[in-house]
Amino acid sequence: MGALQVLIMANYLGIDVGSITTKLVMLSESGQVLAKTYLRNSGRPIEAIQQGMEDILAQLGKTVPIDGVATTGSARHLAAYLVGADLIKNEITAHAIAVIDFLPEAKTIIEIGGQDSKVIVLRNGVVVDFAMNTVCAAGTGSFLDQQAARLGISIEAFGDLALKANHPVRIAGRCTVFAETDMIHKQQIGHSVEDIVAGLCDSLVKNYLNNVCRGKEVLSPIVFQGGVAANRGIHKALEKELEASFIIPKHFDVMGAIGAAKLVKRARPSETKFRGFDLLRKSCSTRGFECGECENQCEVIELLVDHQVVACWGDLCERYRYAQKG
Amino acid sequence: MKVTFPHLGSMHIFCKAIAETAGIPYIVPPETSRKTLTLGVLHSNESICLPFKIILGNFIEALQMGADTIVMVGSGPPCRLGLYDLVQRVILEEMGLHYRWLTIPPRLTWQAIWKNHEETKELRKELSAKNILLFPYGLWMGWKKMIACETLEQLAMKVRPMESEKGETQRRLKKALSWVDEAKTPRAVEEAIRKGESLLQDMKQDHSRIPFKVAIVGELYTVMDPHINRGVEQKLGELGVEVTRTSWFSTHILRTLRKNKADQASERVRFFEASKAYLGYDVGAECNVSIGEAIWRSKEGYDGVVHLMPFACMPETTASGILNKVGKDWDIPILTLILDEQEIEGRIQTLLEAFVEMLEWKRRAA
Amino acid sequence: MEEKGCLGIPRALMFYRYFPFWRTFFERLGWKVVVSDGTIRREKIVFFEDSCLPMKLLVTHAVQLREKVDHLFIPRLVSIHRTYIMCPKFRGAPDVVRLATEGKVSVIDETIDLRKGGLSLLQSFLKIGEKLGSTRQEGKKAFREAEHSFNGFQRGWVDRINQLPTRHLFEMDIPIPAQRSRQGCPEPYMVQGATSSVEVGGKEIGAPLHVALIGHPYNLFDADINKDILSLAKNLGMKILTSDLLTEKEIDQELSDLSKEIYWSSGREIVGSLFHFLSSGVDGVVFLTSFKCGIDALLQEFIKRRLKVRGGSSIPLLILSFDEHTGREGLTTRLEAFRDVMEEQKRLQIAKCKRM
Repeated sequence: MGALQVLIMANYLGIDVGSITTKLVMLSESGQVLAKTYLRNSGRPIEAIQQGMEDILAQLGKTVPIDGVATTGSARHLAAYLVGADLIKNEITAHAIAVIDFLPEAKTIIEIGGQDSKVIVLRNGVVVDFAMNTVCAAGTGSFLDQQAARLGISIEAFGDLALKANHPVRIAGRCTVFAETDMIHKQQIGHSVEDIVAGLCDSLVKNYLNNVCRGKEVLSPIVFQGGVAANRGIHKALEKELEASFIIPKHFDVMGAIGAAKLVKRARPSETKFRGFDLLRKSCSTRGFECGECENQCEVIELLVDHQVVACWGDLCERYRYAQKG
Repeated sequence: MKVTFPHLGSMHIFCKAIAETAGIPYIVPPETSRKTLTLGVLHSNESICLPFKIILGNFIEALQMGADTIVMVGSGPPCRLGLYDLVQRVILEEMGLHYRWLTIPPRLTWQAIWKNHEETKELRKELSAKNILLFPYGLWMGWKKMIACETLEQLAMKVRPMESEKGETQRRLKKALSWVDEAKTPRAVEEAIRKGESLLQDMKQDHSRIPFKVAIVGELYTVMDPHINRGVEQKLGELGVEVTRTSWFSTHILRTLRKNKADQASERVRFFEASKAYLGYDVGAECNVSIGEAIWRSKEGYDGVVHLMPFACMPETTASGILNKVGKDWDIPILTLILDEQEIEGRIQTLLEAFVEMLEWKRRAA
Repeated sequence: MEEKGCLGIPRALMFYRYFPFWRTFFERLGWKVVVSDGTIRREKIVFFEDSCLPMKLLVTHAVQLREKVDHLFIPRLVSIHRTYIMCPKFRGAPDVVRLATEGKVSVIDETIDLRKGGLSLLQSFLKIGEKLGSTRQEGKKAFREAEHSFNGFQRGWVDRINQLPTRHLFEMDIPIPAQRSRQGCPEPYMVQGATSSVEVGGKEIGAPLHVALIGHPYNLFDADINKDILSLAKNLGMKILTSDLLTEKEIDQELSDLSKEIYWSSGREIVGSLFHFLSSGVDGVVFLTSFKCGIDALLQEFIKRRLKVRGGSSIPLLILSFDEHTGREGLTTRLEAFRDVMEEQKRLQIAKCKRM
């Protein structure tokens, strides 16, 4: 039945490439998630996208026709050049779209991702305000990643460990360097790992609320999503601080990709620009060089698919981009 | 003697014109780049505002290229801008860079003129009679070029949301500004304006669009310099927004000379008056005007306001807290962007895209 | 006299200098003065704006008081000197508080701008008195008494700092305890004498180290900002001096050769007293700064560079930056290390003198 449905109905692919993770979602015409994948890109987004496509194919069991592709996330342009996207959308809107369809009465979206944390304020199914961290990453997932690595704990075990704490310690969290010094100190004076982990969760939550949510009206129902939503320690600490309980969507970790897929579904491209699933067998790479034409010394990047330059960016004066188009 | 000056928007074009016309040797610092910022950051600390770091970087680069005289516009209290020169001087001194410093007084008082006279005593010895004689003419050329740049930039802000091909306006504006830069006589400047205007207007445009109207308010340097604000004005324009701002060189210079046109002067007074509902005193710099302008833009039917400020800026920090409330009271979306040395261009793009998206939703709902 | 009601003063910013004055003034006018509690837990700080910690604490304290009092006293301190001004954030402080307390309490926000002339302080306070329903006569009387009480308080200041726990510094009713031992620190302030008194070689062990603490008064005396560095320092055997000991002339002397005048009065006090102490024979100087304080950030660079250009100082200087994340542990470590540096310096100095 599943395979049949895939064949006769339109399918949309949403790709969300963030700074730490890459998410892909295959959405059916009716808005159902047919396949999804969430993987770390380890600094190699192109390989992650290729891997993600392979995962999606494996879940579907066969190649399917695609009617539209949308990309989002901080590397949305790179992803779009690579796969041939019909729509490129910023991740704030993508996250909002995904939630509006899922829970129209939602008033606040809390999204804590790898290096970006956001708060989106919705009223009557429309975005009325939002904020994202700009200058500091202390209220984001990468903060947890780094500290977990230093404690030698897997990030997956992190949240549950925090729940076992009896007395969370206070950890300075303005920047990761501070946090590290503080954490080492707390370890040395004999605090338990559980208490330290819970302290780190509290620290992240406070940074998030103070840096990102400052001045925003956080009203219920609140939807909590993003990779960090799986972390029960953070979840509990946030709920306690906001004195509210959250709704965590089933596909909390790929909401951005879902939003992107929904947007391209709405746009209904007459013909998709998608390069096809063959892409994952092609050699894809980027090549950078420093342009010496002026003082800007732009780092120009070329994207190669099958040894052909398919796109180029990073040049402030756009001389290469221009040559590409012409 | 080799004069240099910091970058700020298109300021280098008309500063260069003054020096060139008067026959004074000059060095234009290399365009503000990553390297400039790195130099500035290296020699300051994290709570110092971004304009300080960039200006310092400009000076270091120019002095390393052989400039020996720094010309810098002074400014008054209460914000830090007024003490930039005090601190930058010791920093450069400590780095072993040698130069002379000339402050252009922010207000024309007798004290300031006297101080300026003292400062320029040595310098004037190096200038020929011809230099001094031509100086007023140089100023006039500088002024003409400044007006030319502003005219073209304002036109670009108007046509950018209509451009059929993204980035075309910016390419054409750059070309037009280079014509202004190359002009050697007042007549050539006039010609450059005329040519530039038609270059921008003749661009392929899509007149079916109804652009959003957004005002950019906030601290001067972040509003006026695209390197500091990572091209917010251009980015918004290319997202289909007609951008307005009230901070221009000419308005600020005329304001200090108390020679503003009645409407410009009264506009600032009007903004200031409006801010009184929230702020009982002049906090300094653009703080009150930012708040007042946001209120007025809401009354005038603008779709939104983008508020720019450097990280840890003293007056605008106060403004940002209050603007939060203004946005709610006056039902106008306000996006505050705090700018610092980090690589945040991608983030700014994302925030601006989401902001415009939000305006679209608001328009559709109405 | 019957009490007219409650007047709240947030324990923040210039409370840490002028509280004795304010309290006496309002009490003489028949108001019960209520001060917010100290030791705010980090979690409870109100983030109304993304300002420096001292400003955030003002908002936090004001919010804490808003239900308990009839009026909040947040003067608009534009200038507290006849020529120089305060940080621009002080100008908007009452407005920020008004928004943060959502108009739930009346805010007395009279402007104080001493640049307007010698009598302007009195005029401002008379207006405050009138707003609170007092006559000018009553106001004048209260003002004079406030001045008197403030001057008395100022005179005993250095003793208060060194002998009272930090939380009692501004408890005017608690007297300075009788001096337990005056060894090594004859009052008044003996810094000038210190350099010439090296012959008291026996003092080197156990003699207190004289440390000048420099910074905005709230950075110095608010334990919520500096994690009670005063008691830490005192426990490490340091005797504390502050710029309150210096005359305006002494401060100005250090600033006479600047290429541009520093126009913030607090900034002048910081730079002037810092350079004065560095050349006057104290054992060490500590500059306490707030992260995100515009004045501190800029002047800190100026101070560092100017010292280098002048060839450094033999007196150790420690610059500490505080924000809501600062922990007490790191502070102790740094202060202990600083004490060791000072002692080492002192030993070197004494050895040098003995050789001569």
